[in-house]
Amino acid sequence: MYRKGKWIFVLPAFMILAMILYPFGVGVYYSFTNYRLIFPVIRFIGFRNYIDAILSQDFWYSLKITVFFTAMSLAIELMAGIGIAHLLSRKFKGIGIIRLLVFTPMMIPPVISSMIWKTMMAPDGVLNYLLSFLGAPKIQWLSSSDIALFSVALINVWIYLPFTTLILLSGLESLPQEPFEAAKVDGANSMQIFSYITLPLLKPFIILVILFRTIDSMKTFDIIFSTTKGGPIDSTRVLQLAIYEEGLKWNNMGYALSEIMLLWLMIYLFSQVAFKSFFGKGASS
Amino acid sequence: MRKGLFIFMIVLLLATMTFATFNWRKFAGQTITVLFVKHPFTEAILPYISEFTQKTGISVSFLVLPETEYWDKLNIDLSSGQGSYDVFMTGPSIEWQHAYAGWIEPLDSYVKSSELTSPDYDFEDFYPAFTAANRWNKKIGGGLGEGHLWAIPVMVETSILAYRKDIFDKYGVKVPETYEEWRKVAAELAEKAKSENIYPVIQRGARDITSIQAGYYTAFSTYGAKDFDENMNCTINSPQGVKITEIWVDTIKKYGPPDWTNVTWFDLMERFASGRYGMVVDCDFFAGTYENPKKSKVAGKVAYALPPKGPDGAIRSNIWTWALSMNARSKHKEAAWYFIQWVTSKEMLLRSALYGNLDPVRKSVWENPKVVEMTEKWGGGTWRKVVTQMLEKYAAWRPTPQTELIAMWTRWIEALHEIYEGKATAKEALDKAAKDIDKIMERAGLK
Repeated sequence: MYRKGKWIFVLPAFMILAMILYPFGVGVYYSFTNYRLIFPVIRFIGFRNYIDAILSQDFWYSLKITVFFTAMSLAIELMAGIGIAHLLSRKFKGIGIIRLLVFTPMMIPPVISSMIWKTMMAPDGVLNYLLSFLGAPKIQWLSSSDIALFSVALINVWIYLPFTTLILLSGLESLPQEPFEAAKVDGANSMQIFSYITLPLLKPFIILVILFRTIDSMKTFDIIFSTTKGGPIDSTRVLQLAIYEEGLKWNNMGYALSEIMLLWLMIYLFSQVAFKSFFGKGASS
Repeated sequence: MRKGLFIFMIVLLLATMTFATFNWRKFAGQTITVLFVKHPFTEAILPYISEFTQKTGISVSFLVLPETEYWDKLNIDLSSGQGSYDVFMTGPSIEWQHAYAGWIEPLDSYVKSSELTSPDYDFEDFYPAFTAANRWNKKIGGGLGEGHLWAIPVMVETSILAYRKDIFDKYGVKVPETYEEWRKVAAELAEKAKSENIYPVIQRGARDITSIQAGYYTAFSTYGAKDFDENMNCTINSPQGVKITEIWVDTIKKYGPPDWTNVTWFDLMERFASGRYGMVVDCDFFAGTYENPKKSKVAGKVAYALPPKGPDGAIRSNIWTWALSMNARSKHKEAAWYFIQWVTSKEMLLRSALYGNLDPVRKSVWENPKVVEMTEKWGGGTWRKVVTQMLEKYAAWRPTPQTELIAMWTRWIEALHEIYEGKATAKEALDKAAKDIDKIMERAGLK
């Protein structure tokens, strides 16, 4: 009885796997067709969509923007995350409340946060008002094609910084105390301790953050859709947004799916390479 | 002669008999599913749906979605061929795609059928321009207002000029009658009304097709420009197109809010109501918000005028009209038609208009004393006068029928952004956009 029944425990996992794999398979199939939402005739056209996508300037442009967006977000998040995690790892009065407050952005739905930021980033919004005390000129946060990408990356950082901080904080708290004590005994200053002990020990957690946040940022849609919709001009038209427009707004489903597959492939390869190069050959996902 | 009279009497008798006995309960027991957009029309109709079920015995289940989600959900469902929704809200450019794909049912035969349509439905009561907007013969590049009727309109919006009468009067500024004057008046306001702390103009500008559809398309058409020639070559870069686009973007850049490229229709409405803007050429029914002291700081201070005229003295306002279509895959077409018929009846459209679903598409609703009473004081009486002329004369759906309107207009608004940011002149930006739009048409096989 005990032996016979054990497959039941695997069943949910299989079902979930099937529910992921089936749509994925259908997506792969349609990416090789001329599927347009409004034309019922679906024909197999081989790699045509993939070739079109790779040859189109739009695809590479959107990819470039997506990579910029991701890199900007990640750089700020990592630096600020390590700093904040360090502060939060100290013990002092009121730390409980501060920790709670720091994590609130994560509890607000990203779309709502983005709408609030859109209002704050308006030319006469709160942000420019505050900056005016520093004598700064009015910044066109979301309405200049030169700055908008940076602004949406900032919103991305604001929303997901708590996540980064959380991982790094739990990393910091799990570190063994011995190396630190030894370093102090040896007379290392705090800068040396940070760069020669904290950072190397924290590496697995930093890599975790890089992996998660790269994948997430590459897939960003909600923040941009609820602020700039890809504009001004097409300065924030990241790949996810381009794919959404192509597939659902312009009805070119087959083509859009081929772009999704290319994006998926890139993210997959990145995570494999990142994982292996950081953790060595023994580790694998 | 006598025989003729006799037959005439019989026919008359039969006619009155059908009149008296139109059977609303013919399809009792059936269930239909309706997909609604979140919109004042929907809010007005939903409370009465139980009345429809009582009257007809047809049960209605429905789903209401916000507009951004609505089209995606609808298109995916229609393309799957499931027929999940028997009736859904739609509009002219969307109908072109749906009709082309064969997803929606032509409604002419239903309207004409005396068995399926109550004699007091009175189709002639609809303003012709708005039923024409929902008619198309499925020929790319033309045939608008011809062929089958694909949907029945439930509301329409036209573009008119709303301006701050208090400020205009205070500084002796004249209401603009042409687009050149519009630019000049904006400049005048910027200079004379400096102490009011206002931006002289506001228009839609977000990267969104609705930014093309209302004020801009009205100006574009009024100036005599067209989106395509008869061979489906994109002509947005014609001399008229370039000229009006230059006036439009330049005026907004100099005299509008600095974040124009983020202004959606909703922002525009809220912001004009906030009292920080001088004038706007946009949706007429926003007056409902402007004139409501609870929502607006400018209630009682706004007057309305016809949108500026073109070089030939004509006005060609573009419209948007929400309408109801029937799914070609519906398994309860007659019941679905009963629902469409009931919703678009004089009675229901009147109720929805009184709730705030403006402008009416039926003449009888527009002229109903209650609607007159609700609207006649807006803008000191100017609103009603202007909108009556718009409904009867100047408003129509202008774009050339084709299936790639969303892709095309997205590219178009990008061009306007380029001009706004000074990255290209109007001519350069529109030339480039026209070339890209030609490519979009080629790719879709429409050229």
